[in-house]
Amino acid sequence: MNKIDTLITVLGWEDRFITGNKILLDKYNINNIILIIFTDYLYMRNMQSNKALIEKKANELDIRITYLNLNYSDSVGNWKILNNFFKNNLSQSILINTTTFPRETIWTLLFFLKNNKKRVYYSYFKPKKYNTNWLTKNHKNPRLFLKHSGIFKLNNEITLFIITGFDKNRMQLLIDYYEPQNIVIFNQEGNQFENEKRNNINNIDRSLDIDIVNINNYNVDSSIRIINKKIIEYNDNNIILVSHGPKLSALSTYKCFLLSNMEIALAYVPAKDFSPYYSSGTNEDYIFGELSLNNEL
Amino acid sequence: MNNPFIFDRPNTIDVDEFIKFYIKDNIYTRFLESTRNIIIIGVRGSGKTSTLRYYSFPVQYKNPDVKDKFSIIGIYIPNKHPILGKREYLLYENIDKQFVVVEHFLCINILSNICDTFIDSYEYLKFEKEIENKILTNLSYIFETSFPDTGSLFENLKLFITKESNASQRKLNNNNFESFVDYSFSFNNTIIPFLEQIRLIPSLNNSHFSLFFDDIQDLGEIHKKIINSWIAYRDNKLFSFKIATAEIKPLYTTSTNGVILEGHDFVKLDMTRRIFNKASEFNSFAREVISRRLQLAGIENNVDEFLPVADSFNDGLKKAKIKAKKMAQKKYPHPKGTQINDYVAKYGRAIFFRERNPKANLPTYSGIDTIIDISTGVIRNLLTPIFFMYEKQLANNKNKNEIVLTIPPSVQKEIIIKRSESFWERIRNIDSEIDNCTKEVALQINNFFNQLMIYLKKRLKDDKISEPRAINFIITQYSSEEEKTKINELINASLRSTLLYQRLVSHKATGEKIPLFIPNRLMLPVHGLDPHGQYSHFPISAKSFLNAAENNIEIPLFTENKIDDKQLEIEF
Repeated sequence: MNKIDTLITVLGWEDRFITGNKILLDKYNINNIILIIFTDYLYMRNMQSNKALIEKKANELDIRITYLNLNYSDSVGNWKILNNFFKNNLSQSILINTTTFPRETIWTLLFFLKNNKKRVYYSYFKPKKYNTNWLTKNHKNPRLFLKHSGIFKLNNEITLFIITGFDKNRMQLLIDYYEPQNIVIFNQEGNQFENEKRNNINNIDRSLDIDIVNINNYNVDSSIRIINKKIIEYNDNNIILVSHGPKLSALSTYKCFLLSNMEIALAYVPAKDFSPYYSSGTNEDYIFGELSLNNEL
Repeated sequence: MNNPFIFDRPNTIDVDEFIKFYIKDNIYTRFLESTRNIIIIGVRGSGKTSTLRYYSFPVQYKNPDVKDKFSIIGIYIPNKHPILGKREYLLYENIDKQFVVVEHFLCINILSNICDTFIDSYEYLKFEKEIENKILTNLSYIFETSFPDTGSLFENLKLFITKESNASQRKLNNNNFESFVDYSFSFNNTIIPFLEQIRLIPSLNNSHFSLFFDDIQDLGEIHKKIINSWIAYRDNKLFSFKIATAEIKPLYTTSTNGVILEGHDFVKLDMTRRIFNKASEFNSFAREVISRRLQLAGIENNVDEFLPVADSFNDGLKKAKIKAKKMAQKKYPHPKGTQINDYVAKYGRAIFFRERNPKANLPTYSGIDTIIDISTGVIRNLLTPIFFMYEKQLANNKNKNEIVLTIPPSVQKEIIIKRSESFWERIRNIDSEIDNCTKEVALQINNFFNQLMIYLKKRLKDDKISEPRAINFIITQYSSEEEKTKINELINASLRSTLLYQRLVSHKATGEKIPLFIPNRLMLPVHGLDPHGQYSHFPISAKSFLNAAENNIEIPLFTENKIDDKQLEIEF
């Protein structure tokens, strides 16, 4: 594997933020860290201590940290900040540690990186356990992602592609908002983190005509193939693709967007409240891969 | 057979089917058939879409009741198309450019729907090829484009709009998206010339185009401001707007930050008026809706036979009314006029609900009137429980192909109670459901509605209170702006999730407008309360409201209302 020049990560309050990044910094000979900080969430537990810990680790390894302050509730402002930043900051090779990234920030980052990069590396650390109570709350209305709103045909049916997650209600919110004619649900395989019980596929209105597809979101390459196959199948529909699954699904969905020649739309349901106990522990057996940023499989 | 009580999206049903199912509500007719700008306000499921669709040209043309098919041409324009959800306009630094981009997509949506309307009803227009060619030539000159010659006039125009739609979406997502502004549609440069040209069709020579915008509540603020700017034109010879929204307080500002005025620029139609009205009006409308569906499904029973009241419920009410009569005779040994009957009407039902053994089962909620009461005046709330009752009874039938002729009271009660329980489950998780509702607000909403139920029970059991079955309330005695802001936050979240409905009423004495709050009556059955209510209301002081919400403290019972009920008059 090539040497990694820059690690991009988002400051998080979960255990896996610090444990995961330390593993990456120890393993790869990284020169720079771009640390994205959502300043409106700095008040959350462990944020200040995690920031101090990553700074300490970087200092030990003589790695430079560049801070990028964003505001979670200002997606347009974030877009402009990232646009300006990546115009002038180009690293040789980039590793995105997706673990604590918001999904739309992963997409924004990939949009700016694809102008100059053919590929990026990615990593993801699973936690040991997710909070059994709630994960996110106070969801806002669904939004089409900036510059990725596709080419909608005027009279074609809407098909909502949803990669499911553990958050209840987000899926119903999407269905009520877009009133799609068709729904394709990509349902995570396996029973990790009590997936079979917690995955919200059981909560949706079954009177709707739903196409259910099994997927392993932890395998980005196979996910891309599965989602892309369905995009081809629903080619004559206006497809809106939404990911609520593990953060890695933001990579597979982005790649599928590129494969569609940017004709499908990416959308997301922002949340305002995140559980301070979102997850605990870190599975050190992390996922690592490479994503090509072109429109070829 | 198909369940006849399905609440389908009214804009997806075939025209002939739609005409069969639709029950016209004459209250709105003179407004929707007029050339005035109208803003229709109605909660989700209150029948806005059906109403707009009913007055659209394809339905009106096929409707045998309509004599003059061409004087008003209603164009139904849904606003759910994701093309209107594009947010790239936010990336323009210049606010004027943002308006240009948004107006462009609004115009594409309008043009597309005008074309669809006439593609579907092309045969009704009956005009010569020569006219068609003239319109195309004129539009070709105006739009600086050439049209393909592959189909009818409107098919050609639709192709042109499709091409423009695709091209502009590509531009918007490209890096050089500033170029978008050089060529874009506006209402003035596109819609008006377009309507003027199609008026060359002889049957449309004197037509007025009524543009029916549905579901604008989900559009961005900028979209609404642009639409309001169009409303502000007020030149209503060629076109007018009929705008339907689920927002209780729609935005009235324009793109130049002016304001459109009710009465001056538009007339407001409040479909929520059904929610708090003398019972008879909505009751007869609702009965007609169910009756029509029974008839179309080939069910020969009438509405009362199809949804019978349980004997135990009827007997209980009868006994309670006899008791009330005895009490009235004791109270008024020398009754005047209708004193005895008034007393029975006021207290009869209250006695039945209050004197039930608290350990006994919940009343057998049943009968069409009870279901209408529980619907709180919303058509979707009326049809949905009957849909599930029908499904349940169909599953109970031994022969699955057998028609369901009647829904036994036990099945009605089971579904009503289940839905009431699920409704409370929704209230408990309300923060997950609505946009921008914090955990604290959710807890306070839960506290308030729990305390409201306790209060309603106390009211029902108090034999000195004048209106024991009143359900609706007003909020009084605000002591500060801060208090008002806090209450408004809870009220607005409750309104958005339809836990509560609101109507504006006015003091007869002062003319002051006050919001009257109507709890969704689906919350009552699981508490053994009477969903019928009373044509009345009670005041809750702002302090008591906040005490209930923030501290879970009981709402004090006023033995006599401080505000005279008769001082409140419903505003229409």
